[in-house]
Amino acid sequence: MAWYKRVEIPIIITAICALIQILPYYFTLGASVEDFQATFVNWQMVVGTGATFVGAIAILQLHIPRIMKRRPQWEYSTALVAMFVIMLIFGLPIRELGLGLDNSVFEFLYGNVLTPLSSTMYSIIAFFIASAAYRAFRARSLEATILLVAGSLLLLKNAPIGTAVWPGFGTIGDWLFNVPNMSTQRAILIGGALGAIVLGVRAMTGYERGYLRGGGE
Amino acid sequence: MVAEGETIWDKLENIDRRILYLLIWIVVLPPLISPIGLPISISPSTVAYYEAIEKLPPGSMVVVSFDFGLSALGELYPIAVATFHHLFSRPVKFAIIATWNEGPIVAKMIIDKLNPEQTYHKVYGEDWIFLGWAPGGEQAMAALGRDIWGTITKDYIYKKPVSQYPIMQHLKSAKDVDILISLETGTPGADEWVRQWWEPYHVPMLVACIGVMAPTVAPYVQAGQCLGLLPGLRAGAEYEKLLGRPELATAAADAISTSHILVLAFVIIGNIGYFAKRRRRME
Repeated sequence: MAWYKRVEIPIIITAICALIQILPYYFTLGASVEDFQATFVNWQMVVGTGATFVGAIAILQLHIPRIMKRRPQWEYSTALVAMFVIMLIFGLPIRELGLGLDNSVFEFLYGNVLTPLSSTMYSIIAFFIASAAYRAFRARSLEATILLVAGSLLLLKNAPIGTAVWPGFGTIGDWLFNVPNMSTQRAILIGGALGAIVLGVRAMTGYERGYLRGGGE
Repeated sequence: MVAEGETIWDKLENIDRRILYLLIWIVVLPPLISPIGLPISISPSTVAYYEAIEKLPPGSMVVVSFDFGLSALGELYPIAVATFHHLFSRPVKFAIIATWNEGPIVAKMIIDKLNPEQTYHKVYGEDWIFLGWAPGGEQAMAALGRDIWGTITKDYIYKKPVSQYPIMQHLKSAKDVDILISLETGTPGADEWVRQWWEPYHVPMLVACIGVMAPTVAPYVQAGQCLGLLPGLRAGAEYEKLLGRPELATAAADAISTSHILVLAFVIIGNIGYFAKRRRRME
């Protein structure tokens, strides 16, 4: 195997990049190291922004063949690609041609198509939550009953009418939020952080290879 | 109608979701069109959020970050509007940034609505500035904390170098920031700000988030990293009440009441059906 294809090379690059970020966070290593770290962060931002184009190309690679081969629901793909092209053209930052974020067509589509559609998608959750609460909140067991009671009390705490009828709903709701919820969230946070540390160490030492073409040797 | 072999208890336990959806519509719409004006009690975290801005010394530097996109407008737009009314009414300076790519568009909608030059006689570039989107998520937050001028080189509105604005002479890194306000729905958001701005620079935060995010932000409030938290529309209505400006969140608060009561009623109905069936089975 050619030397540049060896799996150790990306692992070493990963370890060096990670250490450049981690060490200055915990230790004072001087201005030159910190400057290098800052440059590194800027590189990350450039690479991350470049990934946007990868996403855009991937979307087109998925939907254009679907349209050309008239696969099921190709009509939606047509709408997607059409809007993609229109937004791309009118959103290009070329002020001399009147294009960019201030362009009237771009503004119209953003304000009158994307904004209401996005808000609607999010708002629909209210209907699903109502339906899910109705079906899930059944006192089938002790655990389910605790969930039912806690959920109902928080509903009453969150609804202005609940605290208006009896201010105690607010006190109980705050207690549920600040004591059982807080302790559970802390456990999740700390557990997640420990998991991230372990994952980071495994990636740096080459044991975690999921990011290397699916972990192939 | 009850189908053959199906009891009334079966029906109560399995009400068609379309009926539920229709009823949600029916109970939510009237209060939005004509608010009832139910009393709203104010929670301590809302008071803390309000007082953190209210007690900022004159000339303090605030950074407001739009860590959300268009989808969360329903919940966060009223809170963002109220927060900007509050900031513009105080003798403080602030910069607007966004870590979500749709953030600048949302921010511009709010600024256009408020018209600060006319309403509050605030001068762009001196009292406030709009820095736009910093791409890169958490990396961008880290870069901003270290060097704002180097991370966002031009402002969003006039596309001029940030070094030309008087306000930016007092805002070069997170060390110059007295308070950070994050309007957020997820990642990147409060978690990342705590890691990148609180831990290295000890910049205190205020967070306004959608209701479902509140439990995840709550530990930062108790730890003192987040000075105040506005979770969702209800908190927005409380904040509007404190500001004496009842607007969108206040109007929506009644809809929250009616929808929550409907959900609660259906939960009770579902449980009545469940227990009645169980009792019949036991008999």
